[in-house]
Amino acid sequence: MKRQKKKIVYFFYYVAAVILAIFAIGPIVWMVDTSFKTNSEVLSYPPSWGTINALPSRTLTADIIKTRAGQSSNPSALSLEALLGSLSTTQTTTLASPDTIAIHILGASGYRGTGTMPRRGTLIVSLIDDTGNPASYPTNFSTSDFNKVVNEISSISPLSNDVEQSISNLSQYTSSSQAYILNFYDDFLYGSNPIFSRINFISNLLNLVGNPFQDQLTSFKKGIGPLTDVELKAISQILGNALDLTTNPSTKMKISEYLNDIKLYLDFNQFYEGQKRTKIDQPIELAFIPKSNQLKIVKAPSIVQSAYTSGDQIYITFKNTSFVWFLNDNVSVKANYNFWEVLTNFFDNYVSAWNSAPFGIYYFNSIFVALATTILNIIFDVMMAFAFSKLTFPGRDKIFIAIIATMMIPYQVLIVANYLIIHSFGWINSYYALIIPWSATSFVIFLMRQSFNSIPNDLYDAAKIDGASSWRFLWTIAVPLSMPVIITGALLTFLGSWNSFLWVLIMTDTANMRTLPVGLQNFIINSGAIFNQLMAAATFTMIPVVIAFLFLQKYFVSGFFRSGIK
Amino acid sequence: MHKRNKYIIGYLYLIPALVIFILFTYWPAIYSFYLSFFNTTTSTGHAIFVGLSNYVYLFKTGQLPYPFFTAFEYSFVRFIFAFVISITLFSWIEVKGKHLLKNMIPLILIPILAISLIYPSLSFWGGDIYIVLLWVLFGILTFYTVRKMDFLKSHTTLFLLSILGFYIVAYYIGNRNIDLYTLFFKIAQNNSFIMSIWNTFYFVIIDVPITIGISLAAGLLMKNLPFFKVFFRTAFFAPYVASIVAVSLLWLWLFNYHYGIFNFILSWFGISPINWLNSASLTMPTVAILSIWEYFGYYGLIFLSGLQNIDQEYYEAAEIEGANSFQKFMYITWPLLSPITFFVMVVSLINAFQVFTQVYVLYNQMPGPYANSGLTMVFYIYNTFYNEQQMGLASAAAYILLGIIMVLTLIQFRTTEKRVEYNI
Amino acid sequence: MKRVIAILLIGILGFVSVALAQKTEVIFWEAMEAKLGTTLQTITDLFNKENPNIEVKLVFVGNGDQLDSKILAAAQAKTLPTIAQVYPAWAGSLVAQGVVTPVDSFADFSSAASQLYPSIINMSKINGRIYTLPFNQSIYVLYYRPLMLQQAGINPPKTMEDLANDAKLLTVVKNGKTVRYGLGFRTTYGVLTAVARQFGGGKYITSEGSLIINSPENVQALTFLVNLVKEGYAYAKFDYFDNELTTSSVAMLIGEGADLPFDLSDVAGQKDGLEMTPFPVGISNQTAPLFRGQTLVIFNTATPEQQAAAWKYIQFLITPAVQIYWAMNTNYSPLNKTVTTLDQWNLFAQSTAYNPSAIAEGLANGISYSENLPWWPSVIDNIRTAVENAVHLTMTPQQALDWAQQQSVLAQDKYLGK
Repeated sequence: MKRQKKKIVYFFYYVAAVILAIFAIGPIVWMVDTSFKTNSEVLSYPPSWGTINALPSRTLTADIIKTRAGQSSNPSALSLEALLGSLSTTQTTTLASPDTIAIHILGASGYRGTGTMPRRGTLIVSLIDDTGNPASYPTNFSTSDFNKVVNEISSISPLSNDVEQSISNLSQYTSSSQAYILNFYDDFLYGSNPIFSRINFISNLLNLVGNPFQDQLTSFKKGIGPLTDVELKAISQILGNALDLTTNPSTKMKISEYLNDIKLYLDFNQFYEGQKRTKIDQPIELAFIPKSNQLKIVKAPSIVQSAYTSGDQIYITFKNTSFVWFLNDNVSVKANYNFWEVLTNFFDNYVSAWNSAPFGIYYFNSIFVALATTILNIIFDVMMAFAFSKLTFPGRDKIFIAIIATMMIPYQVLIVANYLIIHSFGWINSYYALIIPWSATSFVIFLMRQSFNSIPNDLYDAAKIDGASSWRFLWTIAVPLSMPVIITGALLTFLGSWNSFLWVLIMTDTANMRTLPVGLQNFIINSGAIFNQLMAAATFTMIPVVIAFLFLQKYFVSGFFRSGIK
Repeated sequence: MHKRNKYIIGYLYLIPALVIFILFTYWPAIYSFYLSFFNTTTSTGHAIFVGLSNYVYLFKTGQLPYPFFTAFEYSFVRFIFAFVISITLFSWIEVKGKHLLKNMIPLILIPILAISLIYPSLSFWGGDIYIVLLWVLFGILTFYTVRKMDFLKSHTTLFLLSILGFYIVAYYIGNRNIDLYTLFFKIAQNNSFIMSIWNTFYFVIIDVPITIGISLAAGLLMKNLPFFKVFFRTAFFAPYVASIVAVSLLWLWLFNYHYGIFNFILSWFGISPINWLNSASLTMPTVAILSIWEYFGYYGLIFLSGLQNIDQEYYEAAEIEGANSFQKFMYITWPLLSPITFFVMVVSLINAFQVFTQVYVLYNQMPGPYANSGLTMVFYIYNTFYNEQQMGLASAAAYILLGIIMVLTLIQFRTTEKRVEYNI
Repeated sequence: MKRVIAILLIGILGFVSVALAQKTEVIFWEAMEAKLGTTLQTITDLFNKENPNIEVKLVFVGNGDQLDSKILAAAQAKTLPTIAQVYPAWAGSLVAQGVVTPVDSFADFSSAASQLYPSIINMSKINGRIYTLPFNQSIYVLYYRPLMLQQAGINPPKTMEDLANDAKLLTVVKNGKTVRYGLGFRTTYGVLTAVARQFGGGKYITSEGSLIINSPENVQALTFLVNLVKEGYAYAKFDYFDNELTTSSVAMLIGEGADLPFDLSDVAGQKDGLEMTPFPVGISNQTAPLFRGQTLVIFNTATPEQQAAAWKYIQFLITPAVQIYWAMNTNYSPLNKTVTTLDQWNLFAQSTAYNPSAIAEGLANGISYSENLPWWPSVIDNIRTAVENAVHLTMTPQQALDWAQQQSVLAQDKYLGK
């Protein structure tokens, strides 16, 4: 019965202990978990435990960049020297050739604008059309058909000013059908200010027609992207009805202009869509080449000539085939990794966090400063504590209280006065500034004094009678007897020094004197709120002390125990 | 001669550490104190001696919405109301229904007081004469009742809590706009230093008791668990070893409104996401949760060492007497642990008053999300020092912080001195 | 033979050491984070290569506030670097302490100044002299999510009235809970000042030097913002808006040009992206752009050689090539007048969300967000607190700004020793 009861009590103890343990290390576990994730996993809700970084393949969301403007010749990608060169020759940078398709890997951006698509493994790029089938391109494109349709649409009139302008501009491309098509779609749909942009086009129409047509047209204003073929047909229907009811000749003229605009586009689009096409029957398989922007073509249909990457974009160049044929298509990108690449992916955040700041130096500094502080502390604190405990001299207890009272002073309060003092010693930005001022700690002195107090005075007197000096007694008898307390004090000072923040920030100027917390803080500022790398950095700053504690923890407990705080 | 030598040896032992304390603690402290009487940010660039005006500036209240005395009047009535009800309650318990009439005097007064609270504009409650009258009544009453109440004497804390409770009730049923508490807030809104004092106390009041409670629980568990002791000990202590920068960073992530794990866990219980880091009323609790997490393992270990210092014989004796776990805790552990509890209280209180880095990292180097809700005293000092360059003012504020910590520590020493059991 | 080699060696050594000794070292304390830092480093490396007798050393000190505290401590201890990047208010304070060499005292200042926009030069006037040169300056703009606007069938707002209407149209409420706010803005001094500028305010100091924080225009601007929040069309907080953008819970955002590669980069990389438009104009129908940024100071505690070298370096920084490189990589505004005429600039502007017209307008007639006054940090603090109090409805806009006025006057008086 009694044993039964005891079991129940223990059960509740363990439940409580587990809850507390989850409270204590749950956040740390979550930190480590987050540190292995990709950016998009960090920014997803609900959160999940796993990470695709551990998987041998993943799907990347991607999008075809529809316009040519400035692509790949974006001068911000140039190096400073190259930029200076291009400025001095006054030659304008050329646009990317029209036979190159640009694919933007979405969701790969992050970490303040730099692409974080892992640059390793192989990419499997499949171009697909609206229906989900493989994309296609015309194999024997008929130039005569093209000339026919161009003539046809050139004869349509009257047209609105924009379209008229566009058609007359396009006439310079009649010799190159692909350039013509490309610029046609740029003008009408995908360019920076397209003719069939919803808001502008519909707003123009709304100025012309009255109700009920206004209401019917307004709904077309809302929607993503330019007007679609189906919408344009519906609009031309409404405009047709409006035209019948309009009496004002100038309005009538305007409406028919817009009707012709739509007709012109639809005619051309019908020609474009109606081309006999060949399917791209196999996906394009590309492999990253280390330290190179070129992509190796592992397996690809014959029309693919070469591929390269820049930022979070991939560029695929075709043989004699313009990217214009894939304008309306979509793309799906899958990435495959081998075992080593998976491993690299998995630790990617750690590597990039480590490399994005001089963490090696910070580590060395932290360890050196913390160790030096700890050793000095033990020597100085032991001496002082011993004097307070076993030696007698006037004012001993008053000095002790004065030392203990310093525990009440927040050190932040004294930091500027301290800066001036340390500066007058010429110690700014040196290890002295980080070590010396912290080489005595009142709390540790207090602990050690308590511990020395528990050593019987008789022992000290006996040693003195044997002829041992107080110095010798201290180091050969008192210190070994108080080892747990000394280790506790050492661990506390080590932790204090290891984790010190504001002090290091103020007393050092350069990265080569800084320690991990300041380095970490700088890293936080630098990397913004992308938490996977921040968590990786936080993890590797914590590890050494956690390990140190694992080994020293039994001393730590008995240290407090022995100090017998009472 | 011999004696003098002995003294000199004693001092020699002190020298290294003492030099460091003098150079980097005492001297800066004196220098800061000296600075606190100067205005260092002037157009000429030279510091000017300004006497106490830095200290005066810190407590400048600006225009008050109503006179202090009005607030005092209202608060005073509320206090009396709470006091009278509490006394009535306690006397009821004391006599357990007997001699009721004798103790009924307060009961008669309650309705009057209650009305005066609810309708403070009533004519009979306008002049100060009524306050004097109440004082007299209240004096007689107290004299009559408290004199014989042993129960009350032995449960002072409970009595004080009861007064506080009824005060809050009175505050909510009455005109909340006028009260010392409200007035304090109005002042704090205009004076960021007073705001910082309020925030710091708020933090300390949440942080210290909960930290002590949880760390005591942790200590007891670490002591009593038969297996996996080392695992739990390491787990509890792990947060303490991490640097506060890393920890704050981690909690920034946990508290994240959109992607944070806390709001996700809350969603299991159907609680809608809490905007932890962007709510003025949650600022101090949020920082407190972080601090409790960081420090409870450390204080838990201190408790553990204290528990190990308690002689097992007491427990064995108690077990023979048939005491249960709760009784053992109440009558052995708690009293014998009181020195440790006292020590933890002092240390955690001092620590809690120095709260700064957590706010600094959690709130993007700002004092809270808005309305200075995270402005603690050290933050105020830091801000005046570094962002406003007012070293004199900052030193004055630092000295007030120091004063508050010292007074509270002294009070702790005084009040607990008699009660702490030293008989281990 | 041996002797010859020895003499040669000594000669070479001597030569090398003389050459080393002749190098003038310029220490530059900066707070350029992430890409800003690497960009500045690239620029500096090129400068060092082109000027073998000068060595500019970049020292990254932390963020702006940390840098400021470092400079404060260093000014006290007389350990200042050669150049530092400071907020305008701090420049004023350093000038008052007498540690700054005015840049207009350098020989070829006027030729350097003529390359820059006059708005930039005017920014750094203190007591009639030009003490500093602004460097990383960005202009307040409006960011918006193009797809959300398209779905609502609206164009980016051009006026403050449009802004209010569009915020209403873009707000989405589901089951009584707002899932998307039309507008987001940070409760900062800068945002209020930028908005107040459109209402004809935003200048907190009169020509006579007295404070007018609670001017009717400023109150009107704050009321405008507060009303949007009250009506539930705007979301305001002090913190950055990166998560609100990734979760699509705001449709438009008041921000600075230079936010783009930083806090907004996550969204800028998404399919539904983020675009920039000039700040909506207010009642006057005229844009009144606002710059926010830092300025470079040369300290007179450095040797004359160091100061001359530092000036040479600053001149290098404002050349068109460096300015366009800097602007393209950091999205800070190019301060050199020639940059916006370059082809490279136009190409760049087309290929990013960066809106060149927004920047050009700002450069032509922008003003600095801050006064060069030593006690301005407390004004910034007070106005921020006022905005917070107003936006979180603990005070009315009038009360909040009255309070800021009162507090700032106190700070001013304290500084002036009253």
